[in-house]
Amino acid sequence: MATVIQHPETSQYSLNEHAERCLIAGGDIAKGSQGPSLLIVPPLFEEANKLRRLLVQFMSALAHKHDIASALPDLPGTLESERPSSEISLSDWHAALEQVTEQHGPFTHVMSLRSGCDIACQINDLPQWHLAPLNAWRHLRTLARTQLASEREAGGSSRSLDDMLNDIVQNGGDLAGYTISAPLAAELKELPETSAQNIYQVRLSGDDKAADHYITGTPLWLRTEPSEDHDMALAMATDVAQWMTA
Amino acid sequence: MAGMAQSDADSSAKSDTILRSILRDVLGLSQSQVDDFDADTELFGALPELDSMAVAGLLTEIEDRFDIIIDDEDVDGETFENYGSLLAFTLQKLPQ
Repeated sequence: MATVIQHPETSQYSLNEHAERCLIAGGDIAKGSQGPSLLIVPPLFEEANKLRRLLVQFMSALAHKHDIASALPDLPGTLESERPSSEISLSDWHAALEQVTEQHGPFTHVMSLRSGCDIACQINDLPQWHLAPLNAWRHLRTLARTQLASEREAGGSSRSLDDMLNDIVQNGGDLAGYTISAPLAAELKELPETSAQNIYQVRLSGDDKAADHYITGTPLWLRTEPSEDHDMALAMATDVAQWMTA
Repeated sequence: MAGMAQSDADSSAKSDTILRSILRDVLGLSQSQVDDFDADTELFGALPELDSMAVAGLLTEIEDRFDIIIDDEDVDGETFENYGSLLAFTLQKLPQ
């Protein structure tokens, strides 16, 4: 009988001698079986904070309503990572996800949402479940707009958005609380369109873009303040479980 | 040319619906609240949810949902003055 785990447990993975946090839900299920197991690639920067609670509720539901184990790492330079974001490039995130897989896997499936989807589809050939994907470069544009708005309110900047983004790609710099390295900005700008065959794409009902499935919920990632939608987390868990065991 | 005028009207009605849903989603308003918007409904300065951070999110979401790129140079104080001005701004950015 599977042990019921109420909340994901905090674990770690190590990358280049840095310990990074990784949440694990349903760890006992994974140890005792060869069943499906899910790697969650978090969204980037402030979206990771806004969607943290949703993902934790999703992991709990997945473990204890559907008996599926999952792991949610902090990407280096985001969330509780001790590494300064200014040091991080895309290869660090790829290496992080490889290390999580080595230390907490193997995984049979990958799930991501928003700006994490672009990172997720570069890491392996496993089937992927994506919710409301946002091109990572568009995400940086939002951060740049936010930065510009605060600079203008402070009476400082007369830079244009494109000038600011070009400057970040050339020299790196601060965007809305994150110091982005020039290599990371350049890599995010050049990311290829996500077009893999093995992606199951999910959107919120009301979004008129094409998708394989639509779920009802709140676009928490668009809000300026973090919030929660437990029913949406449950709906995500139900759909992911069906997709993983289909 | 009546057919063409009809399809223009359809597409601007669709854009109107999408824009209302973007305001609902980004600002956390209810559907009935955004349904009640008319061209004169004041936005910036009148909706407490709409601050300059929310404006950044709104512009990106408009770009994403309409699949367009907005040059921030074109955005000024009047763009977000009322619902009519925001809709006109958006329609003018769509490919003709």
